[in-house]
Amino acid sequence: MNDFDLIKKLRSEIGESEPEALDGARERLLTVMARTPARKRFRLPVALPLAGVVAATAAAAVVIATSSATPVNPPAGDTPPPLSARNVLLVAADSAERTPLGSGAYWHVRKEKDDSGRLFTESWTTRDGQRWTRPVPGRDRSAVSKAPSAGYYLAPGQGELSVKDIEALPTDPEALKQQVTEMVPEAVDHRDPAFFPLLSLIAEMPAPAKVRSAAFRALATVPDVQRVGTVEGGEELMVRGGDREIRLVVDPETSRVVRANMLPTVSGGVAGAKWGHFIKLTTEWTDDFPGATERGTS
Amino acid sequence: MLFDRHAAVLHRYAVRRLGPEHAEDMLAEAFTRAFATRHRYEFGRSEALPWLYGIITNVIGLHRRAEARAYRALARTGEDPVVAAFDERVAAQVSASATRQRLAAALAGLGRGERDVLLLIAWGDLTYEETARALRVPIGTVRSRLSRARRKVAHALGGVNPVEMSGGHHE
Repeated sequence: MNDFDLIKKLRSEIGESEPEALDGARERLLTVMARTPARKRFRLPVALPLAGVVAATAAAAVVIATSSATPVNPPAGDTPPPLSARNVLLVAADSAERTPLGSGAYWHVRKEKDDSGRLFTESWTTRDGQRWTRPVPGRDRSAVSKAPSAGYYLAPGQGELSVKDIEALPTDPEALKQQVTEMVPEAVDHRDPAFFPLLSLIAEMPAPAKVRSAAFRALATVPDVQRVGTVEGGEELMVRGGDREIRLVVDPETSRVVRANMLPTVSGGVAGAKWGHFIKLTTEWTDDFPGATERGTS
Repeated sequence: MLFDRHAAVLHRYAVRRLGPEHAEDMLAEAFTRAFATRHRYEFGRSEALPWLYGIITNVIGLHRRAEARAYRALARTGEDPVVAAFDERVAAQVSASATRQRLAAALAGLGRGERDVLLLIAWGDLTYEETARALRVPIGTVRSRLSRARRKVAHALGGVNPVEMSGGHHE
């Protein structure tokens, strides 16, 4: 073996990087991407992103042309079948109003990978502002530990809300839309400024039935939301804009977001699934809490 | 997305040079820099990777003292702290050898530009041309740095005491 082959072999025991080892870096990149102000981006004289902008504009034009005439609040009992994104969201709004999120001492949010079922993150938050999470960096993946903060974010690093703040949000769609948009002064991507905050709200915040319902109705007024089609577990919706389209699967019957390719994190960042994949989301009030793991016993 | 296509190989490269603790930070920093300057580049599938290797090389360069420290530790003790941090069990199976120690001493003694060229080619599998593009130097510079680096490695393997080598004045 010559000197070059020996160098090639040195530290070759270090194996391929596990997908999990990349999650933190992906989250940080997505957060930076999401925080980049829209106006600055539009000025970039780039061939590739420009193609995306043209496509997004064209897509938006189609959606507006087909759906702008629908009233925000359809008459009660006359909910149309879920064919457009707007209708999916309005059906979900009705279900949200009918079905409270359940009861329990802990608001439990579990995110896992759609392909392997491997845990992404899991958190338990109480009404009085305490939170426990796992996995804990540097410890066994089953270890649960107390989190320093119990807030939820409407957008990366902006619009922090406690459980009590969330419970006090407006129940009128327009007022809610205005308030959450104002709480996020820095626009996220070049999507509609209301989109990301409303997505955060319906995806994982423990909002009361009327607030959730208002959030779905407000989301139904946001342009550019398109329906992709019926998929396992619900209806897939998509919003273009930014460097990456956001896809989410809403179950109109339970009003839950069951999967999304991008979600805000409790630490104020953005978690993203690998291209073509989703983060599977479970949210519920529960009394079932594994308890914090003592150091060294995990 | 560029990240999903290339992050795994760049991460492994960063782990090989600096160990697993910092690799995630390096990766995040490199992709953030890439994102900030992306408008200056056209992303062909084949062209993005050398460009990203160049960026992560610059980020790794900020930690060159720590990198050299680990090579010197391996040269001195026969145990590689980077491999041990990656996986204790794997490290236990890697037998200490005089050759590894001498290689590590040689790596510690290389100049920054020499080490970057040598490891982009040996560990990153880049061609000379890609290495030139990654480091934004002429291809002649890549060739001369590589031959200097290989001469030093060959010299170290020729029986010079690795500990003495590592005690040099380069870092």
